[in-house]
Amino acid sequence: MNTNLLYKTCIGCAIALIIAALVGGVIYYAPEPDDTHEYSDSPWDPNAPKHPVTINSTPSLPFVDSGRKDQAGNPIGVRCNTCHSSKEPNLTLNNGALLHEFHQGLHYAHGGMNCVSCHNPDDYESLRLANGESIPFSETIQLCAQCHGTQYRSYRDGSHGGMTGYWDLSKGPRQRNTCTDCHSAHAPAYPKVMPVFPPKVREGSKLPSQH
Amino acid sequence: MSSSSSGGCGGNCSCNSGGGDNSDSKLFDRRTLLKTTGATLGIAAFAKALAPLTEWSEDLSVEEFVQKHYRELDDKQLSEVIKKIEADTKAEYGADVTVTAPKPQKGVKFGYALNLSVCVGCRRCAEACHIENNHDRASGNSYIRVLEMEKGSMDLEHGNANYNHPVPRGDKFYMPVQCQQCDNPPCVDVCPVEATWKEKDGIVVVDYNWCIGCRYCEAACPYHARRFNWEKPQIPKEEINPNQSYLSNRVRPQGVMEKCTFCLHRTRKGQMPACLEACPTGARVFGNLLDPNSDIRKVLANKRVFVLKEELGTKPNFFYFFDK
Amino acid sequence: MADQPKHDAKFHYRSFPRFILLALKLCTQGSWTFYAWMIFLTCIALVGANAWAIQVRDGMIGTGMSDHVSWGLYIANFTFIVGLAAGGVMMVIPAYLYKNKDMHDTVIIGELLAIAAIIMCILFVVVDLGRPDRFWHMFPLIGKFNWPISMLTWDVLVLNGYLLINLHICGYLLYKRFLGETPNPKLYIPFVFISIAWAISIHTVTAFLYCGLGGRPFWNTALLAPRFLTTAFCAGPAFIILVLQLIQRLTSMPVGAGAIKTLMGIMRVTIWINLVMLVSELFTEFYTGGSHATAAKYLYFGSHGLNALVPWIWTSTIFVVVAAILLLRPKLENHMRTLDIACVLVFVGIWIEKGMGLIIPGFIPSTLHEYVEYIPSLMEWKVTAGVWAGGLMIYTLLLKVAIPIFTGEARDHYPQKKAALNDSKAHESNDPEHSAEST
Repeated sequence: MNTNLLYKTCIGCAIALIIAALVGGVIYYAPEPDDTHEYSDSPWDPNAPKHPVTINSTPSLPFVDSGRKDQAGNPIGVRCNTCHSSKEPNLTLNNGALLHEFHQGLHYAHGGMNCVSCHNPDDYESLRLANGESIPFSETIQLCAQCHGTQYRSYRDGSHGGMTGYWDLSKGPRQRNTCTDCHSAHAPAYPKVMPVFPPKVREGSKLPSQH
Repeated sequence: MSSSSSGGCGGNCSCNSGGGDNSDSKLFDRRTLLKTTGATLGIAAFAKALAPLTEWSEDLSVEEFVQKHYRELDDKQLSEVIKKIEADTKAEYGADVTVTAPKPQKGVKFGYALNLSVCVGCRRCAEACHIENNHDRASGNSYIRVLEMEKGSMDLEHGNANYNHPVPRGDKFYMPVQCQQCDNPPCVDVCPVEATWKEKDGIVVVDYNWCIGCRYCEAACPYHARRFNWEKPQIPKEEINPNQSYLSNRVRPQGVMEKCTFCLHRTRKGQMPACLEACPTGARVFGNLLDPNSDIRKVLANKRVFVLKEELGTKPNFFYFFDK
Repeated sequence: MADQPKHDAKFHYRSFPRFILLALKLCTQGSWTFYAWMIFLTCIALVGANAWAIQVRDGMIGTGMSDHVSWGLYIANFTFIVGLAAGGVMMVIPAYLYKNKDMHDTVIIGELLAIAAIIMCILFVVVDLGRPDRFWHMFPLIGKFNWPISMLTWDVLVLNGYLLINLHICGYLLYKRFLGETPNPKLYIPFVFISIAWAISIHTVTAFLYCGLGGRPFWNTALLAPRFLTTAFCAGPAFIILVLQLIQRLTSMPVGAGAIKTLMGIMRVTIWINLVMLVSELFTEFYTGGSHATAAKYLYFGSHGLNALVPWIWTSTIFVVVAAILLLRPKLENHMRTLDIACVLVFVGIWIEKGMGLIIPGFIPSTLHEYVEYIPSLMEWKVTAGVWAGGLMIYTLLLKVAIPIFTGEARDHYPQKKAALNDSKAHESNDPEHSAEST
């Protein structure tokens, strides 16, 4: 009697499982009702007019701080050619410590290159590319790019250099750092910083180990 | 249990159940009195034990209790829910906030890339996340965890999230980890109530009003991306970010899961996520994977890109690369 | 026993409430031992209920869990108790499949254990939820039920189904005994067969909860489900052997020596299978080494200065090995003390190994290989103790109702009384001068 019931139970269960699988399959594969929040009203348009990307500018005419202030309290700047138009350029100078008359204490650590590798000895109010071409200070990025091509290409493609604003330029503009915002031209190595916001550990649990 | 020591006619308890004829004198017998007193005391003690629940239920409301899943709310119901959330935030935290519910845009799928040659490990992204997303202040919670890794090794076993020295160290590189918005997310698979799902623009979201807090998704996530609200978040009112959305950075209730949403309240309006804007070195790249001219696509095309734990088949949308 | 008369619904409409009333009466009457035991358990359950209410109000920050170790004592106990529920069915297989007569009459003890254990499982899940007020979100149709992808939904289905099956079997058998009638095999034996397969499924599904997660390599092993089953089939019989001896001592229910012998025989085999599987697991972890072994290393030897679980797991391993050896003693049925010690060792050892020794190392190291330890807080211990006390209360009450009915001490006397009343009325109508004689 028991064995008979066992067989009947097994067959009954098998049939129940098959029906359950079929019903489950129907439920699972049935198309879902339209999600009310699936998409917003306007699709992304690649051809929409784009807002500008602004790169922080380097001043087109650099000034050196003379140390004195005018009546309003603003620092008085001295234009480069004030001195350099009448001075003989030192083409072999490559060390900030050797500057005695002006620019004293300039920390220079840029590969030991001569100053005139970048500065234009014919016109100190501009910079000089490797082919001798003179460029204004506002085009400093070009000068950096001629040696640091990899970083420049990364920068150009958006994977180097801080930025704020919109990823979708059809919705808003973007502001970008220029090279010298982070890398001082004379000592470009990125400075060490103390990290902020250490992760906290829950009360009651042991501190994770310091490696 | 043997009934030999019970009162009355030994053994057959059911004798007394039928009639009621002899029971007058038994109504006030000592045993029944003791039992009734005990039962009453027990019920009173039980009510007292559960008393804290009445304080908790003051935080709840009938509307929230019966609220349907976010995906089943029509526009009118959603706006009512949002109004209530804004009112509750004002009542509980004292802050005026605006909660939106931006929808995914057709033609957009978000991707994020991280330049491991440029990240210096300053953790400003983690801090910006904490501020942007209205995290509980005391816990210092953030969706981003920055690991200091050994150069030459990708073994997370040698990673350290608790470094506290000037960065970057020469022999280390720094790897921030946050939700990878996987294309095959294990967290979505395991949720028993579908409180978390992947939206059409790729972001995996949580409906904070639907989550039951079982934390199965937290166990399932291979990237430590999920956070649980172990208590009610405490944020001073002046620090609350008022630009909120239903699915991302509104102040979450106690007992529910949350995670990085790629700042969808910003990115669905075309803005960059807060972590990217805070990064001083520009190690973070964000954009639309479906736009062939986007920065993120340029990274995928030109850099040697990898993902974490690729062998698990999660298909992350968060890519890492080195410049050299 | 009387043959089965055909009853209509009206009959059951009257007699089922009597059955319930009898059950309630049996629950509230007993010896002083019974009262003392129930009061003791009630106190613990109240402490647990209060701790849980505080947890719901103040948040789970009062537990020792964190975003690194997000499951703890509650889920550890849940995992162990599911095994206990599945193990209860171990008595059913010999009784019904192998027609073991001694087993047949004591099977109900195991099935009642399954009921109490499943209720404990449900309670452990509820106390672990961050938002227990949102339980209705899990119901299909009115909520959203992520079946079949989420293993938790399978778990919900199989656990509740197992509860219903056992409630039906036990309820039906007890009701029929109450009525003094033989149970109809067609109405319960198929469910018994189903419960055998179902018991295996509840524990396999629970194992699948863990072993499907690729991000947790400690759990992501094919051996997890078989290990769950063998440990269940050790811990279950161990508990039942102890309960059977208590029943022998405290009640008049006859417990055949064969029942304990069969269970003991099962345990002797399953405990060695369990050890073989454990060795296999440990070999695969430690021989390969690498990052796959970090969790096992933390568990057995401590890692990165953290070693809270090391004494526990070694205690558990030693307990289980010693118990396995003790169980090999020849003619163990004549050495009940050895058997009892072995049962206690098995129960405690497996509670550690399958509870905290399985859940916590899954989270240490975390998925980003951070080491954050987990120490259960006092609140968690209180709630856990409360749920255990509640489960033991339910089991005690179930046995308190079932045993008198099974032994025949408690029966539905209403039909006889009614018949006697009719007889005496008939007498009265025939001879009004004679007083009624009640039976």
